[in-house]
Amino acid sequence: MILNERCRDVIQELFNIGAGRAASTLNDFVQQRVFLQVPEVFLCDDRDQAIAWVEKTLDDQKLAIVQMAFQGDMEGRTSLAFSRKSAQLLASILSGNDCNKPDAELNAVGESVLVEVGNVLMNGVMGTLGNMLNMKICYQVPQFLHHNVELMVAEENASFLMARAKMTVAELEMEGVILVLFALHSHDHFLSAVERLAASK
Amino acid sequence: MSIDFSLFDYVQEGVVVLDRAGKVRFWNQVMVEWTAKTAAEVVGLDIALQAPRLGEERYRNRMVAALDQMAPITFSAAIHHHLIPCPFFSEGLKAYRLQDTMMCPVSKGEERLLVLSVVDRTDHMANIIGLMQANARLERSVRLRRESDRVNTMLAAGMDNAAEAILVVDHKGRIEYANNMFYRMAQSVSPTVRNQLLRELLTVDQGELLQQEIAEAIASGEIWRGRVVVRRPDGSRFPASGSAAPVRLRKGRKVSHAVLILNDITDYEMANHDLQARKKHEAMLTMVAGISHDFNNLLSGMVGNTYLLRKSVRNDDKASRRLNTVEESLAEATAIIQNLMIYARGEEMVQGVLPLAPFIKEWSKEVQGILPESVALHLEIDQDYFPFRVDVSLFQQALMAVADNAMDAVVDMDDPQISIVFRRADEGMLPAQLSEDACVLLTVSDNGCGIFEADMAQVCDPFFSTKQIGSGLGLSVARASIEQHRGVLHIDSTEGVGTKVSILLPLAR
Repeated sequence: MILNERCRDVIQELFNIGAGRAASTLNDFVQQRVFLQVPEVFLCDDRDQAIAWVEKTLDDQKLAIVQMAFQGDMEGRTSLAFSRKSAQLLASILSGNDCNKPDAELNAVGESVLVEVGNVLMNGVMGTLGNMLNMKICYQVPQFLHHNVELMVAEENASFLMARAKMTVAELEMEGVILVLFALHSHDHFLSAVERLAASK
Repeated sequence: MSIDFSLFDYVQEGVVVLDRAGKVRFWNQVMVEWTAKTAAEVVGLDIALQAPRLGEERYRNRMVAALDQMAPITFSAAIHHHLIPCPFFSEGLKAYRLQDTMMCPVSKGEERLLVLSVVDRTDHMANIIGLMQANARLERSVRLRRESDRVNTMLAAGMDNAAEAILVVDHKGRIEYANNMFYRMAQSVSPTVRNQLLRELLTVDQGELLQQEIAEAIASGEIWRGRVVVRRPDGSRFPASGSAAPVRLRKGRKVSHAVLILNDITDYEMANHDLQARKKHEAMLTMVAGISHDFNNLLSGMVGNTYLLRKSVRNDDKASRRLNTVEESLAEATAIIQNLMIYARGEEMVQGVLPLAPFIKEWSKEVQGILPESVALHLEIDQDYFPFRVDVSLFQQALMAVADNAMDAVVDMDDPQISIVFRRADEGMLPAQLSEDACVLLTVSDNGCGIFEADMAQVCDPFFSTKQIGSGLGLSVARASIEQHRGVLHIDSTEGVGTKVSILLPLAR
């Protein structure tokens, strides 16, 4: 996947708009001041490169992942991944339940909280991408998964669009990764749409 | 053509279908059971009538966005608890099912609908909350245990390093614990006294009886206090004051152990003994002073009357001879009384400051004059000025008493020698009471018969004498006199080797 600087900026901007909407939605529901930012995006066709980037960003082999498959003008799946510690912390703050301590196993309550957060964030980002790039996309139901990095990025023949998601809740900072994984036939379509949008600006 | 949702009546979850305006299009059987509202009562009406929160803008916006994007949305039971109130009718409490709700958009032609799938998470959440509470209780218990361990460690360290000896014994008097101070106090060479019986540590005459006494006090829940004598492994003993308190390992249980705290009171008892001896000595001095003054007065009368009587019997030889004997006895008695008065500090000191070296030199000449020729006298006198506040008469009397003793000690020896050394005292040899002053040291040594070890404690007591002749007042008067001059008289003696009398004297400032 080749992307020029301008297209990269457009994608980062789209991610940030989506994250901003998601943060606003979360603020309404969890009664905590949630701040979301996407400071970096990374695109590649190489699985090993993608794994290395996720590992560098999250620094944890065991991840808490919320995943949503999508179809339509683009096909693939979107994942939101947190290191186990960040996932515990986030679930604990948002559910107001201090039993979800960072050093404990993530329980079903924590999982359902993360599913909702992932759902809001991924809907925000993918909804913005779909709207701004004028693409029709349908989504499947979000799922919670305990995976390691290699399972998260399992596909060999895919393009990877990854973004670092920085989330601040109750003055605590957590980092996650938003991974949009395109089926190979989709990414040309996606890039064309991005280039069109970049050219129109 | 409308969509048929009737298959949703057969699923085990609550299912509600809403249109874009929020009107209910389908209400399945599970929702009927949970809400006691039939489909006929609900369908066609705004969902906000059944679920007020779904009428709120924030929820409505999300629902509309889900329809626009065709993206499902989820609501966690942990954050929202329940969106559609489903009460537990069998419960008296006002409680609602906790719900995970998922809203999935579906489309048929142009129409888009939102299918709400409501999953009852009440039991699930209750289990999780129960688990979390159990976990919290476990953590609390672990925390308390750790705190308790920390306190125990601290207590053990405190006991190990306490300034008193601490022993813990079981109800049979068997030692289970002894702290460091006990081992130090007992000078125990054994690595442990654990499992030893307490009575084995106490002296034989005390052991059984005392252990029984302690056991009885403890059994009745009382604290025993008393004095014990502890036997060291080398056979030596030390007195200790102590207490023994009963220990119940759990409240309400029988006394199983006792904790003994012992303090070595050797120093205290020695100090107390010295104090008692000093009080006795003071009382004796008072008595001696009183008696000697009275006797002195009586003797004065007798001496005066003897003088008058001598005039009356001037021509009677026989009476004069007898009067001579009376006068000699009176002179001897007067000397004894004078010495007693010095010893008892009944005499007022007449003091002046003199250079001490010439005084010692003159005295040593006097000693040399009365020594038999066979006795070798060694003199070593520092000629420095050494100002000394002195009552000449008293001081001379004290020095002569010391010299007399030395002479008496060497008189029958083969190679009799006496040595007199006078010099400035070294800093290190000053006793505490003289530390502020510069001092001089006078030593009178002889190579005489020495003093029996058993007699050493008494040689300065009045009327104590090992000689056939003499009043037994010499050294006691000498020590009293030296002490009146704020000095210290110390005697070292080895039987068969000789005696050394050291006199430390503070110089006048």
